[in-house]
Amino acid sequence: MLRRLIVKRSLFAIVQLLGASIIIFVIVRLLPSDPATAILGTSVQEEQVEALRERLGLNKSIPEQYWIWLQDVFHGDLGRSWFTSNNVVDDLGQRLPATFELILLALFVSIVILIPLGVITARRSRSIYSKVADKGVFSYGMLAGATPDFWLGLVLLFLFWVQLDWVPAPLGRISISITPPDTITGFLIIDSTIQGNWAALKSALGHLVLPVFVLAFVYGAPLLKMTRNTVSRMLDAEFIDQGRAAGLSDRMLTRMALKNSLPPVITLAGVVFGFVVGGAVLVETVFSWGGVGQYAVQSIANADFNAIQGFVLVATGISIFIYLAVDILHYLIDPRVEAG
Amino acid sequence: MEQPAPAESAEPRTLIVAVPDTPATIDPEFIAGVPTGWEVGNNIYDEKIYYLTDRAAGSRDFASFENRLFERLTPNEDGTVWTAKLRQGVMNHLGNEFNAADVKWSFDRAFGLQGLGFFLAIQVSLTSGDNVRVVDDYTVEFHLDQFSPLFQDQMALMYHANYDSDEVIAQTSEDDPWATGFLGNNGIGFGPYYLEEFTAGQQLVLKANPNYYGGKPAFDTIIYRAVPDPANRLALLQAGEVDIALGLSPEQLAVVREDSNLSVTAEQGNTLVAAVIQASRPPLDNTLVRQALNYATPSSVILGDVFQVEASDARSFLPPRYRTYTDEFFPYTFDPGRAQQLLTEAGIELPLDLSITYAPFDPSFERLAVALRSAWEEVGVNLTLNQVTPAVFQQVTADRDFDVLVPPALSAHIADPIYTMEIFAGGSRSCCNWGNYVNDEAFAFYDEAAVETDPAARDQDSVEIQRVMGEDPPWVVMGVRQWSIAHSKNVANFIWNPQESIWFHELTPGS
Repeated sequence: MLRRLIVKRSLFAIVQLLGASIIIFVIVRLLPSDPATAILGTSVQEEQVEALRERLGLNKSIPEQYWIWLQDVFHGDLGRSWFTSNNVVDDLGQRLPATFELILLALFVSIVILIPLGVITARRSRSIYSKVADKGVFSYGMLAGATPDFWLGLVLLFLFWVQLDWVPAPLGRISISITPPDTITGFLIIDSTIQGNWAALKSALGHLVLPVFVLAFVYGAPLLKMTRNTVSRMLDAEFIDQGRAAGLSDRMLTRMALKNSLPPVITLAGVVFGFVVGGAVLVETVFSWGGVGQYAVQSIANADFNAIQGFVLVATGISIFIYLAVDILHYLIDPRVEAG
Repeated sequence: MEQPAPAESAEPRTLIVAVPDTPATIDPEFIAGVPTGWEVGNNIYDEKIYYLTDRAAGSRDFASFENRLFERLTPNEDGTVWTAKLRQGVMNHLGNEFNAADVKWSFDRAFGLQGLGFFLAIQVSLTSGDNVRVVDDYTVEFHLDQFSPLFQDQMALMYHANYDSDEVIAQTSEDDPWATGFLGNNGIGFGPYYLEEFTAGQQLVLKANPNYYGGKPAFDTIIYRAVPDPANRLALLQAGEVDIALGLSPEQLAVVREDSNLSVTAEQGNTLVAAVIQASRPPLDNTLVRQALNYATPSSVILGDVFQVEASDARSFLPPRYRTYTDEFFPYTFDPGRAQQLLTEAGIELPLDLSITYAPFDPSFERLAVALRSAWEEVGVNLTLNQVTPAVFQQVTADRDFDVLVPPALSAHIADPIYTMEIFAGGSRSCCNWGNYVNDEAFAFYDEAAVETDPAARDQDSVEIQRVMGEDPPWVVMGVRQWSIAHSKNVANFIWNPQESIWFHELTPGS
């Protein structure tokens, strides 16, 4: 059954990827800019621009261009970025670990802190504590929803770096004066730990604190609210009342409620992951992070067609993979979902 | 012509420069419009000759030249053949020596690619690779089709880059015979620095060339870090995390000036504060309309509001620091009544709807566009703001598809008055006449000046061109930008050059 689910979802994922690639390919070509002009500047002869357009294949029809690009993609070639002069695959490979380290940690922090918080605050009572928790969750949800991530990043930098000097300067992932670990996974905290490079580990963690907090704070709010609401609803369900009548402890009842609340929470975690990927685009710019988010911003500003397409394709692929993982988790928690 | 004074340093020193972004390319053939690109190029490739520089005084004499990679550059009697004797023993960090084949390959590449180097070579009547001839390992002859008064100025430009041709040729292929793929993010020359690392969009590291003929630079390592947010660049400078912060707004520069630990090195630059008008598009093709827009512009108010102390008056189409600058023919003072009168004379039905296009190359550009919109509204001209990305801006300028344009840098890299005006408002020798300005009288003066052997007569031509442009303005000129570098006190001796680049080998440790 699980294999059938994976095969079915994987086939659907291929269709989704193809659809997304067609959409982005066409949209990019509707941009009012020409990569040949962007590469050569305005001081060269028109014939040179035309020759480059020819060489880049930009004179062909969009379906022809797409077909050539698609064939290259199947050979693992996303084309060359004119901005970096590198193959887009190499550029993304170099920058993805930076972004993954950031967003996975943000998601980890959200899950480890906000889901338990949601469970704790869901255990309703008439106490003042419960009312304060209610208000607190509501206020946080409103605040996080209304706070732009880049703005929060700038404010926190002003407070914790400029005023208090508690965090390092927003100059990427590690201090210039620290020798980074050799690349094994590309994740600085893992690589520096493996190699016992504690100075690098300390520096990397220091650089991660604020951007991870920003992403977790802004994008984690729905997780907290969803967990709290779902667990709260479950705690009012009949099977919990029956459990309570049977003498089960509050702790046991909460665990039962949480287990039954997990499917929507996991789904939402998948959605939040997608939002965090999007949020990383601006947060990386604020913290000069050098990940794929910053790469995407630069690509759009420079009309770097191959880089934009490559980024969107990879980001789409990651999102689809996450949703696949969510589906599998759903299935493992509740095999009935496969039928649906 | 004297040699540059060597700089020596005893201990390793590093300079960290916060920039809005790393250059899109460092290939000298394609770096027009990429200021960090030509700055890196200057430091990697050096110059053959350059304007005479007095390092102690921190100044240059733009009427004289000093030898750099060329030991001697002498013309024949009619100035159509220039013989260059190369300095011997010029080595790069790899231990390779600069020779005549390097010079020849550089020009062959320019003609092969027909990029920036080609455009510049044509300007001085070098029309093919055959015009550049190797005599021996240290001698090259340049055969000009006709005399050009700009030849020496052109040899002072980095764009005719001094590649280590052996190393670069090793990177060529059948598909890429001029190593464009390699030179876009690599550079091997004979300059004071070599490129150690370049991760586009993140970081670029230059290392001092230990074999530099002018002596090892005072700073061993230069690190460019891309810091997209200007507020962060300022904060990094204030925190001592970086030594130089580029791309700061006038307000941020004012903050730096107030900080006793920091400095702003400032000098009047050569970048005009101007709005380019599309002179081929009705009704802007009417001289009266362009005159009206100049009268409708309160230049001094805009300079004060937008640029504060970072700009000053310019009352001509030539930057005031050039020797033939004159304000004698610039009648435009803020006079909305006169502007309206001219628009009426031109038969314009008001309100006139126009758009102004700009890109966020500089934090001030949007404010400049807003200021113009407010001012021109008073005379019945409605400006729509059209902010675009850098790539779209490039396309808009290439297509000449705009009403009014805020140009990123209306400045030339040769300190020559005629060249400065011609490339932005000239005819066949112009690269960047984005406004499609045509004036037969001005163009005749350009043609005359292009082959003029008498410097005084050439200077007179440039005065005449200013007169003609005063009567038939191609742009709205408001002033000239200041070259302002915000830096820590650890570094000093920034010397202005027409590229407005930092030449790191000229810098010295500060207090």
